[in-house]
Amino acid sequence: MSGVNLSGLSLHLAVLSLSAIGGGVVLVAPDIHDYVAVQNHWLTSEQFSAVYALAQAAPGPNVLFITLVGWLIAGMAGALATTAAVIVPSSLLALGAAKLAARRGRTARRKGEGERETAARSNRWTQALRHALAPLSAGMLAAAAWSFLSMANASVIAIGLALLSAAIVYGTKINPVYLIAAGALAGAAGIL
Amino acid sequence: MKINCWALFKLFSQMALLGFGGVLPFAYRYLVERSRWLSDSEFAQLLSIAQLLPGPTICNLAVIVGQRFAGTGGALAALSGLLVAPFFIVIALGVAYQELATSALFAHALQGMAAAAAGLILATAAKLARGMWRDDAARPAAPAGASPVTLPTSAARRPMAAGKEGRAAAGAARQDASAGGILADDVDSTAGSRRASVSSTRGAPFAGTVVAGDADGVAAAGLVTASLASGDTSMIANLARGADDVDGARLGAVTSENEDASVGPAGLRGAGGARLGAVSSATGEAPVGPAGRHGVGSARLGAVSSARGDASVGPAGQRGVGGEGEGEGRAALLAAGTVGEDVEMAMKAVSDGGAGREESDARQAEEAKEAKQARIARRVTQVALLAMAFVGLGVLKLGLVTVVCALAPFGFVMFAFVWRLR
Repeated sequence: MSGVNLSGLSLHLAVLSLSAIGGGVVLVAPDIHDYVAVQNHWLTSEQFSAVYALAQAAPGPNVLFITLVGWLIAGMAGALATTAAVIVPSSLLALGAAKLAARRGRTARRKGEGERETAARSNRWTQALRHALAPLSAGMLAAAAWSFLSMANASVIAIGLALLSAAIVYGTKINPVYLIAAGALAGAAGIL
Repeated sequence: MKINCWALFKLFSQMALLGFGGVLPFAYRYLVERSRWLSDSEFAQLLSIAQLLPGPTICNLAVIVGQRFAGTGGALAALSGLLVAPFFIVIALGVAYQELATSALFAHALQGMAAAAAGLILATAAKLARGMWRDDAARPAAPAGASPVTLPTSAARRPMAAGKEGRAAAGAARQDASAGGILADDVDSTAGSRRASVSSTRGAPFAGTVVAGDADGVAAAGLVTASLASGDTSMIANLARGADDVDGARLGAVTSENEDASVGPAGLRGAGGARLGAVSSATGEAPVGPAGRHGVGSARLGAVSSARGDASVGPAGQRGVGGEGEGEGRAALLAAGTVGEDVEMAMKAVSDGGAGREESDARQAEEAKEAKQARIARRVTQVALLAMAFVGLGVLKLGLVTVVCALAPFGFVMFAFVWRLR
């Protein structure tokens, strides 16, 4: 585990996290995989996809799969570094945005502008942005799912299992953790 | 509202620890349903901001909510509540994983879990696509002229900020909204007949923005009387209506002594009769917007009078005639007494509203056609963006930054300028 450039890894993750717009950090999971498994060989592809599945099964934000990636690469220091790299920059940005919005709200009120006027004005741009990003996020998420399957060298049955669980989550309101559990059972039973 | 940091930390910890397979559904349950810190629409608004910002959505949401209630410290408290306990749980899982990695059974189970997890990502993608599809379908067709602002259903639940400096923002009829020149009196919510009078002596744009109609939108936005003595009244009583009301939405008398007394649409989606009462302006214009735009029942316009300026009246029952509406739209009574120059507008309004059934039908058909074309074009754009994003990231492996930088500006320009979102 020695010889890992933690600051380089953190910087890379921070940049990736900040580029994950409109769909969460799972969008950059393929890029992270490319960096840690293909370019640097710190983890195998199987480890990476296993770690992602484990984090899905655990309570808490799914983004914490990055903690496990760091843990496997460099122990506790790695876990702390990768988690901070993904969370801190984007959180600072969110904090700045929230403060800016609060200040703008106050200014608008001082100027005598109605709440709804402000909302209507900013709404159009946010809406356009949302409309532009929604199809992008959907397409990129589908691509991320695809690369997860390919990085684990999934068999035809595994792909079928993935499609089945996707259909179930899409069609029902079942908690996804049950599907992870079902996947574990199916895997342990040797179906795949 | 102020909430202390410890409460924020505790609430976010709770939802994180319950959030197997994703925290967002629990965030809604805790922030809106259980603690009531946020209303439905506030949550939706903050969530969409959190999604637009880069990084993990739930962490952004925690930061925004924390900042809103307790400043920077609150943001820190909410975020750490969300992360600290799950961090150690995940580490424990990592230790177990390293211990068990050699076991074939465990490795197989993990393969199954990974396949299911990939399926979950796919389902999220499909849900997003479904959401954007519905979002698009739900948007109302472009109304001519006025641009009504969609009213959050929660608006009537609380009295909105009352006017300082002569500004009276909005009053909910049921509330005691006595501050800032808003008076709501004689409220009888059970019978559907309500009376709220709004007056501002110093004059300000939003003086007459009366939102009457209760949270469930069941009762009528009764009788609203808005009067303004002086000042900039370009928006006096501009939007008095019962959005999504089931019973009739009515607008009472609107009078302005010095300036315009324009009236926006009444009974925008009212199922009952949507009516406009008397509108009069002593010196300025007295235009009246469409009444009962999507009204199912009858839509009527009452008397409109202007002492000197125009007294224009828009179409009544625009969609009340056939099409979306089931009932009949008519300008039953219209008496425009104009002392000033323009009588034409008023007369035109008579034909528009009263006899203009065919015209209204034709316009509606044309509008529907245009809306349909625009919707198809938007959908083609959406599907193209989706496909390009998938190919760019999944097949060509261009990397996320490249894909977003290449496609997002294109999409933004298309939706902001070409399809003209409202």
